[in-house]
Amino acid sequence: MASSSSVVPKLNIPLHVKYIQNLDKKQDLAYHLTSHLRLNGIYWGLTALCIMGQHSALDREGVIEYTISCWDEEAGTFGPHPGHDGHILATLSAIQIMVIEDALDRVDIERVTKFLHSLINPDGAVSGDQWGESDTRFSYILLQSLALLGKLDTLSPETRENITQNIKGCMNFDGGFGTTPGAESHSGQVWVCTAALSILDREDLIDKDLLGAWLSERQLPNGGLNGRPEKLEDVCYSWWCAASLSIIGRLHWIDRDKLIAFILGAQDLEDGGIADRPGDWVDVFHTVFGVAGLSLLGYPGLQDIDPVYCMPAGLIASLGLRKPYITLPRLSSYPPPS
Amino acid sequence: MVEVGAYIPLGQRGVWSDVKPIAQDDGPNPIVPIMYSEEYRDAMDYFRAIAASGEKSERALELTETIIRLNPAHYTVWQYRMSTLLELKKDLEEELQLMNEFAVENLKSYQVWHHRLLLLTHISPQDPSSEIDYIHQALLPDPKNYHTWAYLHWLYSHFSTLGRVTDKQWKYEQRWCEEMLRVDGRNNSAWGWRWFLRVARPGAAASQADGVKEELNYTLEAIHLIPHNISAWNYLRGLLKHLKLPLTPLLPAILPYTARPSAQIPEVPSTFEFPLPSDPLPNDTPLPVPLALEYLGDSLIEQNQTIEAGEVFGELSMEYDRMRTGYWEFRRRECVEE
Repeated sequence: MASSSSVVPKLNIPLHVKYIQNLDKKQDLAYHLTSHLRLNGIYWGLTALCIMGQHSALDREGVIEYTISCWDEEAGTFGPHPGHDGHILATLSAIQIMVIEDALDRVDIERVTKFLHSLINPDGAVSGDQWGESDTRFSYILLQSLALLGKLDTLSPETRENITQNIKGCMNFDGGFGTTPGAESHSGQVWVCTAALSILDREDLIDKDLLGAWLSERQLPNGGLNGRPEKLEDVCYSWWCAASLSIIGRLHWIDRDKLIAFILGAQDLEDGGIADRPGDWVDVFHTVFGVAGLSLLGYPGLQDIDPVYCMPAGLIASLGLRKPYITLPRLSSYPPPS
Repeated sequence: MVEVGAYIPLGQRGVWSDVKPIAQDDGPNPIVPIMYSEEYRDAMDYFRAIAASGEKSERALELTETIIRLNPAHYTVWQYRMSTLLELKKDLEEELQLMNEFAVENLKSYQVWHHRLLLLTHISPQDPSSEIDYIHQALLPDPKNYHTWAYLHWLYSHFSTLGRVTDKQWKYEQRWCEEMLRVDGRNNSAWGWRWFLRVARPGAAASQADGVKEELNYTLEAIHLIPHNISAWNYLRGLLKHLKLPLTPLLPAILPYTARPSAQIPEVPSTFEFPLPSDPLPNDTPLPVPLALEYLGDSLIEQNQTIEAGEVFGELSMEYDRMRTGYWEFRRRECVEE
């Protein structure tokens, strides 16, 4: 259980590193029911380790071999687990893992690029698979995947414009974004849309003041952020909202210290990991987004994370993919000396 | 003699005796080996076999149902079920009934909704109202479910494109939406739906003069009922911006919420035609309401009183909404630098 004490604990990096290393030792039923998320889970765990400066805590060859075993030869891309159909969600995680592990040369880039292109609809919406469910998450995944593969230029100007306009069509009257045109603004969709527009170099389409105001309104009196008005706070929104604010250059529009305190209070200080809010059970999803949010906010002892890609900032910069964003200055200690 | 309640492996059931199951391949040196329940593992072993042979039969259909009951997020199995249903020319209305059962049993996932969407696309009823009624019912215990609202949006968009939504149905939907907001005026999803019904959809009422006044009245009444309702304020500001209307004419309805030691609230002009706050205000309305102060600040900017506007934003920053100091400082500095 995560701590709900009123004294704000520090981030216990060694404990969370052990938590991630022990994920595969779990013996419970819930674990197999999430096999459709397995590859995503490895990306989440690996990224959290990179942020905590412990990249090598997971065996590199093991990670690479597992990722490769998720290849779906028929679809020409990755599935979430061996024997599962290729899907766009697994595709991005696979590419991110291989880039982090510097093993992209072991990926059939041409085939994956072909798979990605097959998901683009004529109106610029992007489907998750051949059955057509479209969602702006997939637009973002498509763009980041192509960018990481160095294949963004395989998009024709017309296709690029269609994708751009489709994302723009998901912008609502409150400045936020939804899954499809007209769908309610939601912090998660806000992040994928602002990040996608950033990759497209079209962040000019965002009403940054209006969206920034909406995002800053997500912060509740307990310091946590929520996904839309009148909903509960959740640690993962520390990433969706904070990264969005970072991309639009308005991260200082939320209260840094209150959010840091909220995230730190959601740690499990016995067995490691971070939960969705103080007092709840932990999982690797909230662990990565908790430490990623802390990194953007300048919490000491963490590596920089790129808010557009949710990948190590140094790595993204070295690939020449960095887009404009701001983060808060890295503190040397926490709490900062008053 | 079989123990009551014990699971009988599929291999011991006559109907599967001709099939050789394919066991899970966790890949070489699994990083994340998975422990399965016997039933799930058994079903998946047989699913792999029939998927490999492409068998589309009654027993295949039953098998997919077994699996998705255990794991509603397994999209590969959902897709296989859909193609089997179509291949066998099954009664899709019956399948819809099954999905209704799933909902009652709280089996939720993106895939349940997408499956429903595909079913409705294939069934393509002349009159979608019974499906609409079903979705309305589904929202009663779960009034902010993002998937459900997005699905409702898809229903109306899809069937209105086919010319199957009558004027009567649109009016009915508006009344239903107003009832949802009567029950919970803070339901942000319902406000988003109202925007679609009244502003965004082709032929929406608020694009005509009468419709505009009605819409402003409705929104102001909502604010007067719950002065701290973020959704209603966002809706009001969104309306005015979308319709390119000035803020200042509505100010008399807003000013009572800006009551604070530093300001005198002027009398309401006798010519004012919009709904006014209740007198006295609803119980526990802490004053001032930050969103009302923001409205006042923006109205002052409209009237070229930028110094006064800056002072209002300063008060928000220092006193009345300190969590968002970053945002209010930005607004204040903008006024000073004008």
